[in-house]
Order: sequence, then structure tokens, then C-alpha cells
Amino acid sequence: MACVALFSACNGKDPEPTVPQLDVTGIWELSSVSTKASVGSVTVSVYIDFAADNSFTLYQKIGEGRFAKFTGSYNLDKDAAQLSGSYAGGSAWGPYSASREGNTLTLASAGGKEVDSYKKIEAIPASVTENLY
Amino acid sequence: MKSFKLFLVAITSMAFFSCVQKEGMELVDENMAPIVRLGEDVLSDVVMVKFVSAPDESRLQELETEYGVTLEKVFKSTPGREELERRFGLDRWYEASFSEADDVDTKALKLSRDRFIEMVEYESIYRNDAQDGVYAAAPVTRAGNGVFNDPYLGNQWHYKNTGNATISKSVKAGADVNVSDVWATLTCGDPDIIVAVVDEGVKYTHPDLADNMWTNPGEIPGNGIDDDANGFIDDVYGFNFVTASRNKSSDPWGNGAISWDKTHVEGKQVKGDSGHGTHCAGTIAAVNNNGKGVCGIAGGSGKKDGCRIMSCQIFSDDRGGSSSITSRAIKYAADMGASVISCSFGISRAYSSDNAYIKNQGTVEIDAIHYFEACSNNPVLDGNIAIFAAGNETHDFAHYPGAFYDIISVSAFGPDFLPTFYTNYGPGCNISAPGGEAYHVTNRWDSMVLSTLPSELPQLGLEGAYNKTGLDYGFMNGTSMACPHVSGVVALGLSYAKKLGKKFSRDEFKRMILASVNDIDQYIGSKLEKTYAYSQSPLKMAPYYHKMGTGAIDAWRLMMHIEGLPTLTSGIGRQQWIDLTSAFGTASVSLTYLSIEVPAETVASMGLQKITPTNTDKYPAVMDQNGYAFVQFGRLYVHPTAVGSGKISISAVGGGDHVGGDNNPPGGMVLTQSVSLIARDADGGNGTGGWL
Repeated sequence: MACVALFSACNGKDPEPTVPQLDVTGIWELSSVSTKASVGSVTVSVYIDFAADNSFTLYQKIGEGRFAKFTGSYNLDKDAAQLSGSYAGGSAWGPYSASREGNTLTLASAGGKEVDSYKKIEAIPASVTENLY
Repeated sequence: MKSFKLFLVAITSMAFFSCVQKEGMELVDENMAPIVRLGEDVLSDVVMVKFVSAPDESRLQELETEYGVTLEKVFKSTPGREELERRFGLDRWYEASFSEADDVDTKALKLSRDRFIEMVEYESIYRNDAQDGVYAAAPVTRAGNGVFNDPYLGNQWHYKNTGNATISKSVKAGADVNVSDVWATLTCGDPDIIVAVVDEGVKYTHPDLADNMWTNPGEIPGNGIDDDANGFIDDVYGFNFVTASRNKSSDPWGNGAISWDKTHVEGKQVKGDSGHGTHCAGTIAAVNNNGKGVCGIAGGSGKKDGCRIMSCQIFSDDRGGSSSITSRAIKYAADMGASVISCSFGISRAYSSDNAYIKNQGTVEIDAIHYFEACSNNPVLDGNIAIFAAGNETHDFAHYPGAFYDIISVSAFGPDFLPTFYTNYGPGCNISAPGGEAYHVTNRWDSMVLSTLPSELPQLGLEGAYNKTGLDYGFMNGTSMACPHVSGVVALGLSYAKKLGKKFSRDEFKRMILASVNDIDQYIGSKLEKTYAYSQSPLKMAPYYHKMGTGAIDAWRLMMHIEGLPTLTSGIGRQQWIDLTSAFGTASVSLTYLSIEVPAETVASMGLQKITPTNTDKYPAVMDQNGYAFVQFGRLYVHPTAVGSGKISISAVGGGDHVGGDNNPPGGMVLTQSVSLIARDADGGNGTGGWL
């Protein structure tokens, strides 16, 4: 079968297009924030590790100071392409409209007023994890 | 009588200060300058006078002739600081000396009627009775916390309290100044940051202090010459202002060798130096990581990198503590480079306001303190910082001068995170720190504060125990011990800010200190009374609730404030609360808030809607005057409708429930924080502040 498939692949016909399942697992670094209004000169650094067991770890530094660490769980509705979750303390977040293209993950707020883009990275820098409150 | 007293707790008696105070004299003549009657035990041949304006030589000679007095400047002028000296009136203070045959009251009255004289203060020298409660016992070596190799670090619960029940049966882990992580990762001090211990003399040869003693680079020790022409002979580690003398006012002060072991016997008890100054110095900057004894909060890492201790001696044996001695010592600290003065003394009586204190007790030391705070001796601040102890009489107010509106006064908590049985609390108390407390365990002292002591001292206050202890370390407790904890943390903060190249105003830094706290009311409020394992009666907790300043000082939080406050986040489209812990510490829930200001730009940027708090009869709220935000339950409430950003200014009382100053009853200083806020469409954290 593999050979057929291989032969088939070589006989000049294109394979049937497949829609890759949306997958957010991995480590992401916030690369851009698109909003209708400026958030001023505040510098935002965000790193998120979406683990395969549906837990997440978030490191963020907004403005001055150090990185704050948050943990919790997430749920990805692959059919609706919606990402939501809750912090460890129980506060809910999302849902976001999620889409992925290669190593870029885009999360759009439900209100449509904010679109955050993340790039996939290999590991959260030690300068982040060692610079916590 | 005016006496500054050390705040060290007597174990056997609360009433160990014997000084009797008198109110200020009533004015009977409108043409008189106020005479501040400082008490019964006044010097018979001297008063202090403050001129309306700095007198010239001819005016002084006229007055000397007219009144038969000798007038000498209280303060030597320091080149480059003349403008500041004038601003705080230091150039107008003179000592008026009489012959012994004169009647001091008559002379004072005559001087007060002179139109060139603004105020007359009696000058006095008093005993220092603070000598009980020193336990120069050899500590049991407990396991350290791994940061440094000092063998007694494990006994210093006040730096890292692990909840060891052998220290206190009611111990609470975390009842400390939270300094270990600061040492491990941020800073251990900086030799350019100098803390002056205004106290008994510091034993500068102590094996655990010597490397962190400040030395005057311009002075050659022991040559009897004022080498640096600062007005003080042989002031190498500081100066002894008690024994200092001079032949005439143009001479430098001499005979000011620092001492720490002067005692005498009264009845069956040894009285005099208690090691108080050396103990406070050790808390601030005993040398860390030297394999010896104890640690100091800003004592470095064993590489001669600790903050430096300057000894400004104002007590010696049974002498000292007068206003002129204290004032000169504080000015010396300012002029010789100290960034912090640690002052574990005060006046143990109540005053209805700052102005009442000035009227009854005078202003010379207040002028000197404000001069000190206006001088800048480090690259971080535009000024210096004075720290005072709140006092040990279980009074529901702080003692002056620390109770002054703009001066930080420190109350004491024990290893159980609860107020100590002796600490003063309430109006004028700005912050709390570990002061230690006996009666937690049967050996009495392990729950006190462990620090350095002069080994030469007898075991003071214990009948018949006159033999020298020979020990370099021991336990004390008191707000005297809490005060140097804050001084050390402030020194550590200045060290870290210098390392980061950060600059702050003095007042901004004071606000950061008062906001770098952990909530102590959660522990006070959870108990009806505090019980002791040994001897002491239970202590009812209700009086202390909301009265221990802003909370318990936390070194790590101060460092985080220095690094910078994070921007707070909110969502849009709904009313929500935002946690204020990052701005005000965990005490944010129990502070008394004064005002909140939302600039028009913030309202516009975030599309803030007007909101109204509920249940305000039960839970007070502070509203923005236009109704765009309020603070309730220690939380900030807003209702943004647009993605945007801005700043909101929130003011609280920096200790207590009202602001002091001038004729107001003693109270806290205004503690204002400007918080940055961004409103996001995506924020769903409901107060968590999480980005998702």
C-alpha cells in the first residue's frame, strides 16, 4: 500500500488536500498585539507553555518589574477553533478565536478588538524563569 | 526634662525609665520668645537659644555683655552646606553659658525678652536607664538558611523565620524581614551606603563589625589633630558627642573617643552602657559570610561589600541624650556621609500634635533631623532617611521625634507575627519590624533579637552579676531592635537602587518603604488575645488592629518596588476590581485610603464609565471625585469600555487611619502610589492580571 501510495504520488497526481488539526501545544512568545487603541508605551513580554495535558504556564511582564507566573488549564475546541481556559485560582479566560499558520499562533479576542500573535520557540529563556517575583 | 531614651525592653519591669517630664511654660508676656522648659534635671549653667536671624559678631558681643552670658554656636558650619543650614535654622542656634552663680531661670527669662531671640530651650543631660534585658548568652547554633556561613544565622529568625518551635511555641513561619532571597540574588549591601547609629557607642573593634565600620578617610587616628578640619579631632569611626569638649568655640571638639563599656554600680546593680549601640549596629550590618557569629541585613557577602556603620555616640554610661548632643550627632552624620540614621530613642510621652511637641520640647533636634533628610549622601536619593523606634511603653501612640508626621517610626512584632507586649502602636507608627520578645520559650531569650554585643560588658541589670560575660553576641528586644531592621532594609534598598542606577526622590523612597509590607492585621484580627508560654500575661489583640503602621517590612518587596511596579491590567465592558498588592503590599486590604484621582486622559483613553460602590455604610469606599473609579476592600474598581491605558493616583495613610502634621493629632504620612493600568479586550482574568 505504501508503494502504491508512493507510486501514485509519483504519477503526477496531487494528493487530496488535508486540513491540519489546530494544535497549540508548545511554547509561544507574544510577538505582536494589535488593538484599536494604543496601550501607550507599555512594554509587554509574554511567554506561554501550552502542555499536552491541557495545563498551561504563563509568564508575563507588563511594564516595569519582573515576570509574573500564572498556571492553569486550557481547552481547545478544534472544530470551533476556540481557545479558552481558567487560571489556577478558578478565574476563566477566553474564548479566543485561534488560528495557526506554521510557527505563528493568532488569538483574537471575542470582542474582536484585540488580536495577539505568538511565535513558537523552543524554550522559555532562563532570563524569564529566573526573574520572577 | 528632655531626655532621649533608648528603646530597649526591660524584662522584669515595664517602668524602667525614671525620667519625669514637665510641660512647657505658659507664655505670660507677649513680648517674650517661647521658653521651652525641658524639665527639672537641667544644666544649671546653659540654655540654648534660637535667634530670629543669624547674629553677626557685634550682635553676639552686645548680647554677651548685656546678659552676662557666653554664646557659642551649637553647630559648626560645613562648607557647601551653608544654604541648607540656613534653610533649617541651624545657623541660628547658640548655646548660652552662664556662670555657676547665675540663676538659670532668670537668665533664660531675660534672654527670652530679647527681640533678636526666637526661642529659648533649656539644655539638659540625662541618664540613660536602658540597661535591663540584655542577654549575652551563647546562642545554640541552629541550622542556617544556606545563604551565608555565619554559625548563628539559624538563630536569627528575624531574617528568615522557618517556623522553628524551639524559638517560639507560637512561632509563625515568615514573621521576618524576608531578606534571604535578596541576599542570594540581588544585593548584600554597598560600602558607599553609610548608616549612622545614633546611640551608645558602637564597638568598632568587634570581630563581626570591624570590616563594616565606616572610617573617616581624612582623619589620622590618635594624633590629636583635626586633620580634615571638620571640627572634630580623631573622629575615625564616628564621634563620642557625650564626652566631647573644647576650650573655646573656635576650637575643634576633642575627647570624643567612642566608648561602649562605661558602667558604674548603683546599689547592687550595674548601670550604664548596655551594648545597645553595638547590638543595633550588628542588625544593620554585622559582617556576613565570615564564618563568625551573626549576620547583618546589609552586611555584605564576606567580600568587604557591606554597608558601613558610623557610630554617632549620644549615650555613655549614665550621661548623654540631651538635645544639643543628639542634634550635633545627627548633623555630623549628615555632613560626614551617612544616608540613613538609625535612632532607637525618643521621648516617652504623648503630644497632641507635631506643633505641641515643638512648643513643649523644642525644635533643635527636629531642625537637625530635617537638615539630615535634606542632605543627599548617595547617588540614589535627593536626600537621606531617618528611622526612629516607636517606643516600648505599650502606649497607643508613637514617641517623638519619630512620631513626627514625615519621619518613619517603627513598631515591633515577635516571631509569631503579632505585636509584642511592649511595643507602642497607633498614631505616629508607620511600619513594623521584628523587635523580638521574651516569654515565648522557657529560656526567655531565643525569641528575642540576636546580634553583636561588646564582650567587655557586665551582665547588666542582674543583681549581683557583675562579672564580665566575655561574649560577643547576645539577645535584646525592643522597638530599639525593630528600628535597625528597617534601617538595614533601607540601606539594602539604597544599595540595590545604586546597583541598578535608579534614582528616586527621598519622599518617593519613603513611600516605597511604607508600601513594601506584608499584612500583619490578618494575624492580629484572627486572635482575641496572644498568650505566652512563660510568665507574661495574655495580651489582648483588638487594640492593635490596624495600628501597627502599614504592616511588616519586607525587604524583597522593597527591592521589587525599586525595580519598578508592574502595569495592572483590566478587561473592558464590565465593572471589575484590580488587586493593589503590587502597589501597596499585602497590607493593601487594610490600609486607610484617602483619595483616588483619575486624570481626564485616562478616562478618555479607557472609556471609563461612572460607577458607584455599594454597602459603603459597612465597607467604606474612596471615590474619584468624578465617579470614574473607587477603592473598596483594598481593591481598585473601574469600568473600562475601550482598549486603552492610563495612570490612576491612589493615596492612603502611611500608618494608622489619619494623617498627622502641624496641629493635627499625630498620624501617618500620605502614601501616594501612581498605578499604570491598561484595559484590554482580551483580558478575562477577573482580577488575576493574567494576560490571557
